[in-house]
Amino acid sequence: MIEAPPELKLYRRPMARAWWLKNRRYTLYMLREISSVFIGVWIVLFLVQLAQLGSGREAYQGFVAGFLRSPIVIILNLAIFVFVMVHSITWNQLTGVIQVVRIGDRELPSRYVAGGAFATWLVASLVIAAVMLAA
Amino acid sequence: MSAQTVTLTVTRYRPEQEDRPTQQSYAVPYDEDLVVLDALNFIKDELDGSLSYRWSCRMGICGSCGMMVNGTPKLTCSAFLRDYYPNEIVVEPLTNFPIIRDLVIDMSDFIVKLGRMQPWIVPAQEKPLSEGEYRQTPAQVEQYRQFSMCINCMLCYAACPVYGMEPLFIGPAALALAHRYNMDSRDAGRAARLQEVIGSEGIAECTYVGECTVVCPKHVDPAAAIQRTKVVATADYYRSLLMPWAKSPR
Repeated sequence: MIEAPPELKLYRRPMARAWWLKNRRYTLYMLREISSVFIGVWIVLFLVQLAQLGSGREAYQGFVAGFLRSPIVIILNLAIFVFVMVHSITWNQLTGVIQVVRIGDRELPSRYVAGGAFATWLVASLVIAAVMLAA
Repeated sequence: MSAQTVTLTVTRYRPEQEDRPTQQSYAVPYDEDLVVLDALNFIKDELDGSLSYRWSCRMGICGSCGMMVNGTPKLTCSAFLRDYYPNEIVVEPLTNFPIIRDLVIDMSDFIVKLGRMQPWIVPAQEKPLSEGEYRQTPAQVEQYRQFSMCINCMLCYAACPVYGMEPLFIGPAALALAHRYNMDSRDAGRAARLQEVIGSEGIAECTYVGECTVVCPKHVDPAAAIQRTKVVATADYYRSLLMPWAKSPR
């Protein structure tokens, strides 16, 4: 940090450890940041699940019954689902901030850009759900 | 003046007589038309002439009177007492900056970072005065107009926890101003500015807390400017990687 002349006796205030509790938006920001940890945990769970699938039907069914259906893993998955939603919603909202869409000389309002991202997300989710339910 | 009063609790720091800041409370006359800066001026004129703070225009354009009002960065000339009355109002110097005296912060760090952004038009080719001005269409002005509204009040730096934790971070206002000139059709300085902003002290530090945009009194939206700069810098990088023969746009 570049500072004023040394003859000044500056006072530097320490940053409070709990700065992120100071206002609601800081807290929501921290929740958004921590959501990536939960997504990481889900990816690990998913890779383990795939590995189990590779070891044959019996091993996989044992894994599902013994591990995935245990109450603690179900609760963990519910928490993961909440954080995945936080992560995805804030990400889609961000597209409206980043992407400037111009039609002629006019700028499309950012809510339409974000709306497009949400619509794409919804359609993609429906397609994946349809494929999975049909299988 | 009405008989009602409101309590203003103000940070005092007199480096010649104390090692750390203290707080001092004053009862000032309340009126619904008064702002926090009026209350500070009343203290200075009528109660305690030793109180130090910066101010100038009283109309939200000079950017001098930014302070923390009940923990939120505000221009004190635009913060009305009626929005806090009858509760106590706590006035502190802008967070994340060192205190010189009372409510006066040291802004040297910001001023130097601002200069590093080359916040002026760098024309592709200087032309003589006789050839007239560099002209723009209204649509070209719209590309950067919002980001040119910055008054350098530094409220965004006080709101930014990243700047609080990493003082080397160039910070919201300076990065927004770099974006403002990058988006100007008369400018050709983008490559040089991007060199400055893509470093570890620049756009990569920003994790999009977004509070800079919330507190900005001029609706500049520095958070958007920084995220858009990330997109431009990334696109430029891949363009130079995949098409090294292509000239960088502007």
